[in-house]
Amino acid sequence: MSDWSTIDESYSVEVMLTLERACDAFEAAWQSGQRPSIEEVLHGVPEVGRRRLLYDLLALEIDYRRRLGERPAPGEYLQRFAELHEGRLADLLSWPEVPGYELLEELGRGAIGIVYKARQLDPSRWVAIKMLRDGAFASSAQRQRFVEVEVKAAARLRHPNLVPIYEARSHDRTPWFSMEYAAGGSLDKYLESTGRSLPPRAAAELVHTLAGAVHYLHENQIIHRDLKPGNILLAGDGRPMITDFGLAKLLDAQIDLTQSEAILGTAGFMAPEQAAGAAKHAGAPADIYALGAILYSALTARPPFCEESYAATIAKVLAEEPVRPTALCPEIPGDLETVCLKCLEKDPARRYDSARALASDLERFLAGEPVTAAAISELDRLIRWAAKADFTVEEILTYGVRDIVCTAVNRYLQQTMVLQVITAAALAEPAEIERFQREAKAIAHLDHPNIVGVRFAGELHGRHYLALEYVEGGSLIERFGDSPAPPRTAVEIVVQLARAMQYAHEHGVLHCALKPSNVLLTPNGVPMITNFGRRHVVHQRDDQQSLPLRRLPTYTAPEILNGQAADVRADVYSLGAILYRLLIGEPPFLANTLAETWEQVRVQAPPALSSRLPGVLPQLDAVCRKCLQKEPESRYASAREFAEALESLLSPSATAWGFSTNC
Amino acid sequence: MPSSHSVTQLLNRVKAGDSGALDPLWRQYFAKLVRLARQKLAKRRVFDEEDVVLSALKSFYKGAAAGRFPQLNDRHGLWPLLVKITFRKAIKANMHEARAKRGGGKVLGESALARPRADGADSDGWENMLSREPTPAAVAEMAEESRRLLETVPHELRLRTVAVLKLDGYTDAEIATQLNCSERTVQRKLDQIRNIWRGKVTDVGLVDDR
Repeated sequence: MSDWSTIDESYSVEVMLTLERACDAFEAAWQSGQRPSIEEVLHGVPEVGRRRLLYDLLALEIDYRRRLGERPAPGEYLQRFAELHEGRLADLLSWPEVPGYELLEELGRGAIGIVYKARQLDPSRWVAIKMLRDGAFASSAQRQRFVEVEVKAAARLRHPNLVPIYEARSHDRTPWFSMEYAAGGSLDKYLESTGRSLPPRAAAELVHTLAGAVHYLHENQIIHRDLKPGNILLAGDGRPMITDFGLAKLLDAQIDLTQSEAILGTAGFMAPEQAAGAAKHAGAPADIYALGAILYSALTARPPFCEESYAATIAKVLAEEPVRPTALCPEIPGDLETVCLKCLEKDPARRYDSARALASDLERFLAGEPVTAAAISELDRLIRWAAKADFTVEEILTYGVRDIVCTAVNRYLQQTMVLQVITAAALAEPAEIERFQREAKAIAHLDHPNIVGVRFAGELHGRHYLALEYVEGGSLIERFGDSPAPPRTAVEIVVQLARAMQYAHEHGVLHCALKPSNVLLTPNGVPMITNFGRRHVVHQRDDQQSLPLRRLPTYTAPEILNGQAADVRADVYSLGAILYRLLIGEPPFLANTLAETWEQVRVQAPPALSSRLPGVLPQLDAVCRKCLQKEPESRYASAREFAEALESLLSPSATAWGFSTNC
Repeated sequence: MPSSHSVTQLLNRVKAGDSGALDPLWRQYFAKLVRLARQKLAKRRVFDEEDVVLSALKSFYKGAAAGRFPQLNDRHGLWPLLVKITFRKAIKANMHEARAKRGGGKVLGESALARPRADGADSDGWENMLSREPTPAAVAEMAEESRRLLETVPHELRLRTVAVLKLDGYTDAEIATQLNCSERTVQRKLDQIRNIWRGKVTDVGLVDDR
């Protein structure tokens, strides 16, 4: 910074106040989003203070331009103001002078240093010069050692995909080194300018090349520790080159991690062991992680983890699995995703053994051969997630596109619960997350002895989940198999279900997927409804395409199959179908194929109980048939009406059950 | 703590050309000033916030108590200049007295103060100033001097505010944040304040004692 005292001899306090006023107004203009002109301000100022004012205004302009992300260089100012003293301007810009080089523009600045584009005089060529920041060093001895040992060691390395270092020195106690000027800029900027991801094959080729260079570094006992798209430069011919190798030791001494945006960008590419603070212990596996992160961002146009703040990003790096690349871009080949995710494993031991092994696997992928990395299945992910959430998974109950339901033991409470966890695929779709949350909220409000309760729910390590009460004893299917239940038992069970549904409906919750497998029976014979709200909105296409035969839509109301809006009467239909199933041992409609069953539910008249169960109470037959009507308006208007109809059959005053209870 | 270095040791290092020893010397010196200022304040029964002398004294230890310690090598600092101006006055008075006594007492050579360096710290001068034990009288002079100097700084355009905050020991960056302006602005205003004190800005009624 200049000592202004040498600029002007002396001036009156009036002049001083005029200058101050001009500067304050100039600054206020910048702060309000304008770009005030220095020339105009100078115009109205007395001669005596003008020279000083020019430098004062320049200092402000440079500061505010930098805040806007601009990179002011001396050239433009020297053109605008012929009277400028070059050295003083360089001071204002903190523009270094390096003997033998002409520094032309600033290419970028980071936590460690500032990079300039420069012209070397002899030999005459373009170079990039990195000036290392003073603050990056603990002491001048360390700074000295760094230039002498680290940079010179790095300068001895030669590899087509490492940016060659030409010269390393200190000037005015600031260490700097010169290297090849990469005309293509950084990968970072390249991806930013295209705004898109690379085609999968191009991404694989890129990381294959980089992995080869990283292997060479590792062979030379250099761990990069700061691999990221910003540190991958592109030569004029498009060849990727890694830069800033050998600088990693400086990162250990990083002073102010949170305030530097440069570091913020890095967090998303940092291996968890490094993010945990053990940078010194982060070895070769940390670089393999970063290569995986580069592959990830090349494929998906976003880093594996990217949050609003440095701390939030680090928290995710430490605790969460990345969203699967294929969930973001379905056209990414599965094998390439597998390679990428193997690099991004939290446990360094699960990653590739070496950068060479990664390169080889990418080579196999590029040659169309199977890769050695094994895909982490959705179930593996679930089990890993559950372990972090303090659950031990015992048995997978259902495995859907949107969620997985399993029994698991909570390690703290030593209790079995039923976990309903959103799948990784569903996590990629905000609409699915929103739905899951909405449903969880609706169910959590239900408190009824015949409805399986929610123990807790939330988002843990990036997954939304519900922990439900575990009911021993199995579902109606498991209890009765293909045989009918005793009629009185059947009616008693369905009455309780109808009352529970009445309660749910009164709380604004539909079930829409009531069926015997969703009704659990406690050892004491109490029925409990579960799997609430899983199909509030029915995706007809999904059902047509993916319903396996064993899940025939035979308990589903016809209006749902027709894709029409469903209300409480759809649940009444299902209750009737369950009643039918319990009494007969078979659902009301059952054909050999999905399509036929589908058709029967939609158009065939509901079967009479009496045709299968001679001597059945006619009133019971009528009640059941009324539930199974195709038109919702022909059914009971509510679960409550249905419950009351059934209860009247059970009351002592009702006609004796006309058939024996032993059938 | 700096007290682990004796003043003599530090002085010897400065004489041997180690300007790095000036800083601990300055810290020790300033710490003593702060202690004296606090004693002086404790004796006053009635606290009058308008009392400039009092507030200047408060500045001494308010900043130091909060861990804000003015750096000798801070190019934008006001304390070193203030201390220097006070001493120059004292020395001048001392020399008058000495001449009157015809050589009685040690006289500092003019050269001790006549070698200003670009960064504003003339090491020889500082060495002599800092080797002297500050006395209650010196503190009183300093308070008086800071009152007089502060009064020369105009209230307009936040100049007085910047001066007070700086004397309270805040860094340029902290002041910039507080005033919502560029650090460059704080530095520029401090430079103008120093210019006033050095007599480079004229017509402010400041008598140049040199």
